[in-house]
Amino acid sequence: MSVTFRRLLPLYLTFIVAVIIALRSFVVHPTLALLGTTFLKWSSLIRAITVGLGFISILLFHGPKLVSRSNDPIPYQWFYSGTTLFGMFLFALLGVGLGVRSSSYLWWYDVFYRPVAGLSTAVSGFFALTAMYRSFRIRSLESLFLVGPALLILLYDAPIGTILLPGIGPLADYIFLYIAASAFRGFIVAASLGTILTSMRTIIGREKGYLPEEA
Amino acid sequence: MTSSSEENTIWDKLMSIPDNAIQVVFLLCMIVPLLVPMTIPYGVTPPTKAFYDTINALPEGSVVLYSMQLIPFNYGDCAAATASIFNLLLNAPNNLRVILVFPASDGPLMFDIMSADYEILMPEWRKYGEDWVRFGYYAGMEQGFATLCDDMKTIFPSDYFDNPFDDLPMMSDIKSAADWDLLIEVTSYTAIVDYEVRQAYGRYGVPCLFAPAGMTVMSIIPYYPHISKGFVMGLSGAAQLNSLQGISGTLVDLMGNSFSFMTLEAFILAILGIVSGYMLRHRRST
Amino acid sequence: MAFVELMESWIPIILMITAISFIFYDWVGWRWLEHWIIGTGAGVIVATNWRALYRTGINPLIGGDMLLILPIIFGICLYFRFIPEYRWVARYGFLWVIAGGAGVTIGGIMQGQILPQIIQSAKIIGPTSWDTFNGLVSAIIFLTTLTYFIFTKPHKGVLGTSARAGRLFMMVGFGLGFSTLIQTYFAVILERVQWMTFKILGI
Repeated sequence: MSVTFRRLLPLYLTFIVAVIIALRSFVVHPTLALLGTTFLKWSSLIRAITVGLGFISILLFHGPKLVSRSNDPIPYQWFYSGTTLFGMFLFALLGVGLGVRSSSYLWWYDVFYRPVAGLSTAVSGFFALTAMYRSFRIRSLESLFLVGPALLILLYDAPIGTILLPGIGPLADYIFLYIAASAFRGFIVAASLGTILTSMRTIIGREKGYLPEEA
Repeated sequence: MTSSSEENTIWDKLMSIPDNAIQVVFLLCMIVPLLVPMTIPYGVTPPTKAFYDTINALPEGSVVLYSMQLIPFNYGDCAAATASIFNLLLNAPNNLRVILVFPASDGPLMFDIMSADYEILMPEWRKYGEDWVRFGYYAGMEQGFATLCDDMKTIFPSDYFDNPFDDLPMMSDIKSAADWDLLIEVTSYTAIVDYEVRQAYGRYGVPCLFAPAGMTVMSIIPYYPHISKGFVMGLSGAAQLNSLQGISGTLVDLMGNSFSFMTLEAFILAILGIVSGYMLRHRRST
Repeated sequence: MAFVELMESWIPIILMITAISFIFYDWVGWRWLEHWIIGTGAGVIVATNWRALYRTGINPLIGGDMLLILPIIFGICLYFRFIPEYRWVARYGFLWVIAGGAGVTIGGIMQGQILPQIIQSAKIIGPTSWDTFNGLVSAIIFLTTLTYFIFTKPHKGVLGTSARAGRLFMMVGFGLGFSTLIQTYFAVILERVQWMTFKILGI
């Protein structure tokens, strides 16, 4: 197919869709508002459809490992891959079949997934604890500004902290609400300007990284 | 060359405490306060008080969009606040009309789990569809939320229980963000805070209140107090909000006690680490 | 039913102990659990997004809103990325995600994120001298933080001093962020350990 269909038309469509969606915030016009809302709805629907890409990607990654009884990169990788695929199909089929609102699905979710879904990441809290013990060192002004308020807020946020050291409440409030807030306001303004620039580059077609590479 | 006695100072011993011992003590700090009743009083921080006052100061019958990004990862930090805020909205004297939405796909499931774990005080006079409505998960993050702000029916043709949008009496005069009086978000995800400020506050001027997990509080601090007049931070914030509502003796208080000892241990360890490190470095340099 | 109740208690407990065991030893059980979480998580996401897609797209399409066939076709285009010869077709799906994101961001960012922050930082004069002092401090911190992000000029002289000050103030925020992050981890662990403790002890 020609370059027009492969490259140019998607870029032109990106421009048109993004401009209509952006303009609806600045120009009050019923047709523009209707078009913008319609395109946004389509965009959110398509985002829901992209979930299937992840499903297929996991299948394409773990499927061959299971079929070929692969031990790469770790011994018995095929067994782990089989676990991943089994869990994925189990919960997807249960959800579509039973319905995600059903009490049965909630039971499966509450027994087999939810107890450990967050905990597997949160165990890094244990490591953060020992890391604080072994690596928090104040060797420079920057580290003092990093570590000092961190420790202050650690104590302040616990109910017992303000009882042990009554004075830290107003100090912590001041640091939180004036110093950190003002610093992060500057951070947000700078980040927002960067976001506008990146969005503009995407809209005018200078940013093409999002387009899937051709074979 | 240092002598063996110099290598055996208190600071060397402190630095050689095995990690496992620290973690076992940490587990004990979690478990013991759960089993041993104790009352640790705590104060209410200004942002939590402002959060509470803002909700109570809303005019009679105001519409509140209550968005909850409850996922397994943030459940421990956000669930208590979710329940506390929901109780506040349901029982506030100004008869607020509450709309529930979920930006995370797990949200509706976690909401049901939260309702079972924490007591939800639903007043008898509240009728579903007339005083409060539960929609489900909206896909598409900012695009989905922007669509929700422009036209709620487009993204939710029916509610969570498959009641058509037009059949919900409460939604007869609530069509878009222009009809909302307040947006409350419970979240651990920075991007949600940013896009809700952009869409709800930026385009429609809807005041916002946030209940961030601890890890997200730095994302909402810049919006305080001009966009978000208050905030409720995590587990401790939930305990404070409960105390403002006169709710006590709950699971949240028990967990607050454990949380106190856990963070106290972390604080002590950090101080010991800093002092030990300084003393060892000082010894080496001399 | 007793068997179901046993499963409800002991399967989560075994899974949680496996998760917590990672802090002591990286073993086969932990690796298995990692893969289990990834798989089940993916399944949950697929199921819940299917429901959202059905409610918002497919059901109204069946009900007569024929225009919705277009986003579904564009969405199906996304899956062509798995066919090497027709990978370019996926661009017609991705463009909606990217264009929607870019357009919707620009629509609200000025009024929502930039102007309110500038206005709030410019509020220096307050009702009392303490408020005025705090306003001045906030404005100075805001400006110094902004100067840190000026990358078109070298950070020397006044700009350099200002940028360094801005960096220090941002370090305060990052320190607070780290502290509150580990508190989130603590709260998550605490909730699970509390559940497990109460289940085992029958409270």
